[in-house]
Amino acid sequence: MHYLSQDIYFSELGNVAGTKVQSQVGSDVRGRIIDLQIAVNGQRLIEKARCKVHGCGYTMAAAAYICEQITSKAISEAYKLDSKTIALALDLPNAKIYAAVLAEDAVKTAINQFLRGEDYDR
Amino acid sequence: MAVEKPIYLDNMATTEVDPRVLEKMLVAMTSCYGNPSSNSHPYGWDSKEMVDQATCQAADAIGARVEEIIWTSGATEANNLAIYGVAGAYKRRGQHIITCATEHKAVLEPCQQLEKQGFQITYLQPDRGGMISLEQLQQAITSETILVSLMWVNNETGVMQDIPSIAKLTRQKGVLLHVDAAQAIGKIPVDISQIPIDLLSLSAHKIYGPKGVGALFVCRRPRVRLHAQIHGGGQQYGLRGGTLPTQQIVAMAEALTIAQTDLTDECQRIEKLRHHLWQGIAQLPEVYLNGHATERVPHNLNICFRFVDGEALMMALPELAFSSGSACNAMLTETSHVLRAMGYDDLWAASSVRISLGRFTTMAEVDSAIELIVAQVTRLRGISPLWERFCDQEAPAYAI
Repeated sequence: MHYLSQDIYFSELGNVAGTKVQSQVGSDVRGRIIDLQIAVNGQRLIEKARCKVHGCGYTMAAAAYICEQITSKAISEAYKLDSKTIALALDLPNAKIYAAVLAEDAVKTAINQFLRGEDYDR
Repeated sequence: MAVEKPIYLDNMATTEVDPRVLEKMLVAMTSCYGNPSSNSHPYGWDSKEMVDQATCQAADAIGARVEEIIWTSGATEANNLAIYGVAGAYKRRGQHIITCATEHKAVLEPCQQLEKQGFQITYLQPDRGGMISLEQLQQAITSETILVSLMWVNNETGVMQDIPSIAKLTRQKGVLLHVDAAQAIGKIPVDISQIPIDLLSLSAHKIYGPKGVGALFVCRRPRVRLHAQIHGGGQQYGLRGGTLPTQQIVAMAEALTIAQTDLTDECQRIEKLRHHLWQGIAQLPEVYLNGHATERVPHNLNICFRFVDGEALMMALPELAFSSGSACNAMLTETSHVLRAMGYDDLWAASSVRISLGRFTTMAEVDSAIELIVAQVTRLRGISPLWERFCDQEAPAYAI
């Protein structure tokens, strides 16, 4: 699986311009967690996306995939990325659909966090 | 271009066929293709003779009598025949069966089916090491108990039950004992003439034989009655219908003989490999061995790498072939029922993998495995938020 070894995405954001937000989704009990970090610039484009992940290989692949997909996208576009698309792109077996659901949740939670921050700033 | 295959470390799932076994099997397939039940021509006579000789050989290997061996398609069928067979034959005497929560699904499923038919099943809960005690068993036996079904060596953890003592207890109590020995043969000495076991399941493919053949030992003295589960041409004393597969039987008999003959040397060699592997892996922090520290076969390491998902580790290591739990459950998303029954939580179980060594595992392979595992566990922990949090919590202690 190509995305499993995409270590470039499994790291911290580091020095990058823009507003940084982080989402933590999943459960310690089940052992499936995605911590997604995104940096959003003034044009509301996602400059950079990185994640830390704990879970099966499919969860890791889904986390790397969303980082790749949402980079350079407008947040309104990134918000549309859904679990069905992720599952299809990664050819996930039925029993592993949860990985796509978790990944979608990570993106939406991070964007919602960014939007809440904007409201707060106003 | 040939793709290089990964290093095979999944010998408790199945084993490579031993060339000595294959040789015997090929002879049977090419020169003896008659139906052993055809009694009107030399093709049948030759096959029957070959099957009879192999049955003698298999019986000798485990200390049984020739008439006590019933050939099956594998250990799953042998377990089914033992459990349903006893339930059918003894249901008027009682409808209580005792087994253990860490048994193979080939025992648990038939028990669950019998529960639906009104049988009462007691699932003994093992301790943290995977062991059940004699006291536990003794307390569970009632006047209604007809059968105790326990595995000798657990397929996921390699933990051994004290079957000799258990067998003495069940014989004293007048309760039948069925032992799933699929993982015991070739790993520990098995001599049925010395232990009062009533039924014993065996499998060929766990001992470097072919898949698709197994056997059930059915004690004749004292005689165990069974209801047949597969009806057909009346083969095997009417207990298991179906044409006897000559080449499979010949192969399994040979595999059994080799397993028993080479037992001591092989176990010593594998013990050294396992020790080396464990020493290499245990250099990592937060690595734990699941199951009893000493009451286990040398072939197995069931290891919890905390903060690493077992499935992710397997996928990150295409150079190695091992498993997260039992191969039979590999398609399920649920964690190992064995580890959960031993008291481990889901996260622990999901972080555990089974590495099993075998006859053809080499020290060079073990060295490569150590290097690869250490590197990938370190990498996966580096990207795990759980590991990060754990290290943050531990930081003050490290700072001192």
